Amino acid sequence: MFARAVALYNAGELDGAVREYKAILAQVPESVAVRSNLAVALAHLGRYGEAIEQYQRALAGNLSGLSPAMVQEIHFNLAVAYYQSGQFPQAVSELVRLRAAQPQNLRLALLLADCRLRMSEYQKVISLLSPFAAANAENGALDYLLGMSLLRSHRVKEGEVYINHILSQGDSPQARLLLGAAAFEDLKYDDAMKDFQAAIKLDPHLPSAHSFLGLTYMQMGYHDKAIQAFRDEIAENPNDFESNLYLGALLKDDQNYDESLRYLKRALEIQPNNLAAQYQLGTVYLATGKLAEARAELEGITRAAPNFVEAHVSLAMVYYRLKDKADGDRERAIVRKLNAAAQAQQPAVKAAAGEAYRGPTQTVPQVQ
Amino acid sequence: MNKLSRRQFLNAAAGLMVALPGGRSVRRLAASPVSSPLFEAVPASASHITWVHTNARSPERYLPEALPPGVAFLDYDNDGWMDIYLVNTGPCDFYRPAKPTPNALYRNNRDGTFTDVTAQAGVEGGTFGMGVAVGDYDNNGYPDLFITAYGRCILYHNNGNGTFTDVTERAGLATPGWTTSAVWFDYDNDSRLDLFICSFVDYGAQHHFDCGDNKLGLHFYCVPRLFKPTHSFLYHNNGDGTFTDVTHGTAIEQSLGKGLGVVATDINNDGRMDLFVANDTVQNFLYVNHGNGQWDEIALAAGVGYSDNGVPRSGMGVDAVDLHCNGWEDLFVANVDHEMFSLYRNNHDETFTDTAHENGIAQATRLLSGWGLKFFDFDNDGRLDLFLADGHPDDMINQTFPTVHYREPLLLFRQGPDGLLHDISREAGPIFSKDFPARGLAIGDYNNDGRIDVLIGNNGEAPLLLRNNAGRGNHWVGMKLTGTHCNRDAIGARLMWSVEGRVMKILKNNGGSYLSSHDPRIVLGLGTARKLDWLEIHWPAPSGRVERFTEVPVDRYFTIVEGEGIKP
Repeated sequence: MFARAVALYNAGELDGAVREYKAILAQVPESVAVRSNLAVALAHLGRYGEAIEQYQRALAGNLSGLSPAMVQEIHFNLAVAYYQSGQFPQAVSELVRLRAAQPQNLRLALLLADCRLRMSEYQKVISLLSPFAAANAENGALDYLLGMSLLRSHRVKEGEVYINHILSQGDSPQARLLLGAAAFEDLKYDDAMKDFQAAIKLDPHLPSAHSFLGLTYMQMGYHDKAIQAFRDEIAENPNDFESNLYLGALLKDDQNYDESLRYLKRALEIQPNNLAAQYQLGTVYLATGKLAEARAELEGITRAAPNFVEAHVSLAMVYYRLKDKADGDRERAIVRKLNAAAQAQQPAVKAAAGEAYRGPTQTVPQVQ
Repeated sequence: MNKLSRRQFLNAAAGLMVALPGGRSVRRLAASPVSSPLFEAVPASASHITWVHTNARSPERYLPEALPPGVAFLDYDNDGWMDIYLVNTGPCDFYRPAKPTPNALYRNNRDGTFTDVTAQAGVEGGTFGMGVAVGDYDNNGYPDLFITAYGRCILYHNNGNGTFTDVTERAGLATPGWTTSAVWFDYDNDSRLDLFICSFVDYGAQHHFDCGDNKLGLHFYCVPRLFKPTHSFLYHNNGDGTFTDVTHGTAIEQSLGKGLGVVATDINNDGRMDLFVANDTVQNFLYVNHGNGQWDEIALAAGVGYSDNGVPRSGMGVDAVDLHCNGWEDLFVANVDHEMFSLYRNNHDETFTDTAHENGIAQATRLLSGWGLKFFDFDNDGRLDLFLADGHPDDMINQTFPTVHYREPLLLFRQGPDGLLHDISREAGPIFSKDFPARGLAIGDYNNDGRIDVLIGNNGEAPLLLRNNAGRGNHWVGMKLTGTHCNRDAIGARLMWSVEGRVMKILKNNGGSYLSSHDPRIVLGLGTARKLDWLEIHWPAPSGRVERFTEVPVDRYFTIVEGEGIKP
């Protein structure tokens, strides 16, 4: 039976392989190797939830008969399943454990870096990949991950080194994406838009390209185009955090609250601790009159980030709507204090260089 | 290794570039023929208004250059025809004009033309003027002028003989700092008009610093966020030509803002006039008047202080309006681009709900920056409409944001039978396909045809006088209210009337728009109805008198004097 299952898998008949593996497990439920193979077949079918469950059950079984390398491979496959299903924090957890045993493994480092990039942990990507950079100058994936993280950290000059690495290979969608990201960081939205459009033309399926284009459209005020770009990204890449967050925020602006909630909740599945996404969710609850939910969400945010002034504003409003004047007044006093502190930091007060009449649009308030 | 720079790469690969989306995203209007424009520009050659605003624009880009001017319709000589006042810049700590840059008073010649009477009236200004608030503070029947400024503000007392006297210091109104919009209203119901003055930021030439991309050697106007906020001022009218600053110890003093627009209204129908202030980069303020000089600032609790994202916006223009004539005042704020404007529906419990989206206002104003604005029934169909004047404060904004422009189009929204506002700018005439650096906006019927016209102040350019051609065939009732026991301008009066059985009501609030003052007369549109069933005037305190009229003249202006009835 096992040989038949493997043959079916190798022939690409994945449903058949799954049936066979399950039949074996019905007789030998303790077989780690069979369960692991079942998980692999399920993952190839895109049934990540089931695959993850099988990997976890395999790893919870008796591993004494497996070599350490095989156990590591199951962990790696589990990490990949997490990654492919958009469960990046869980993938990171597995990969960090694996990397402890294999610190020089570039494949592990790149996958971990990609997870961290998708979780907006740019500094961690830079720390992780920088030691590999010198010895892997022609590695396009490394150049892309490191270059993009530097750009998103506003370290444009350093990022350009990796852009040039990629450009040296000729035109490519990745090169266009990085060029656009650099222009975006420079607030040159017209240039950024052209680069992202060119990247998409070269590869309509390029991860993050539609998302970047959406961010650019948003800054330029192309509201409807931004919404479409984020939708396009999510169609290609349902686990793109920023697309889910910003699409949710834009739909909230349009008072399309039901759809907004769907994307914001998805964003929070990808980055459960992201306060900007939590705040958007709280404000949707407030706007739709779900005051208890809004209160719980916003109280959690203000506990986690006491200086998140917008969250205090919205929480004050929730309390006032709940006729809880004392708590509303308390939050309002916090808002005033935080605003006064922010004002005291402004250049006109400190006599330093100033800011033009307006900077980039902050559609989604972030923790400062 | 090939070390192409980003731009070198782009040049080499130019053939791969995809086409840009065409045009700008601000609504551009097709040059479709309009048989009868709803509003039509009156050229200087026809109006004889030749005055041009001087914005004092310098290479350093001092912020006060970007904000004016305000404009006003007023009947300074009480002849029943609206005259025009225009505010100009002038000498200050960063500006020394090579030649005088006076304000202007234009007398209405009653034939569509105006005559400059500034010098003989003695209202040249001579300070770095911002806006103007018109009100009869001494109840002598002649409107007085308060000019706000970066620097010295001015109170011009109307002598009743075509001349004015600067009585600022004598009146006790020498207000420090940078004042913007102001409003006359009777906050303590003692029948005398008091004065609220918005104060903008703590600014002076010594505080100026460079903003913008200095690598290019360009200076942009700094965002007001950088400057310290200030408190606004409330002056009590003592009834003897003097005023007392009663700001101290009130919520007005405690609320540090960057005020640009103000309207006096009554948001809770308690008979006391409240204040709504639009602030730039700071939350808006809603001051509720509790009487006895007690004020509460409730904007956050009321839902009018911040955006839905808990962020203070750049409030500039403001208005209060009973949009559906149901007895409750709604509020409006115009903000800067990307922030969208707000239309706050009164929930009757001192809270408001932003209805800008359902009225199409948010969508239409996404990339615009709004200043002067006013709700009025432009076509006399019995429903209140909205006129908006726009323009970005930074003349170089387009270098950073290609979809945002310094000169912006006017917008006209008409209220439909569904009670919603609809953007009809496309059908309103060729003037709506042009762009302006608009700031102040005043409404007034300068040709007394019952159709309310519009006057717009443009930064650094000539003003724009728009003749209203709309609503032909609709009937109207036009009236000036003159209080005898309440304040003479009857600010705070409530009107109720019935047309073909439909009862409506409005409050005569004051202020609104930006830096500007409006025709004080009230025009009620009747649609095709030929008469009012009845009209009630509820005179404000301390009078409280209610008068009911059933024989009301139609299609002409008249005066109602408190306790004395209708005068021709």
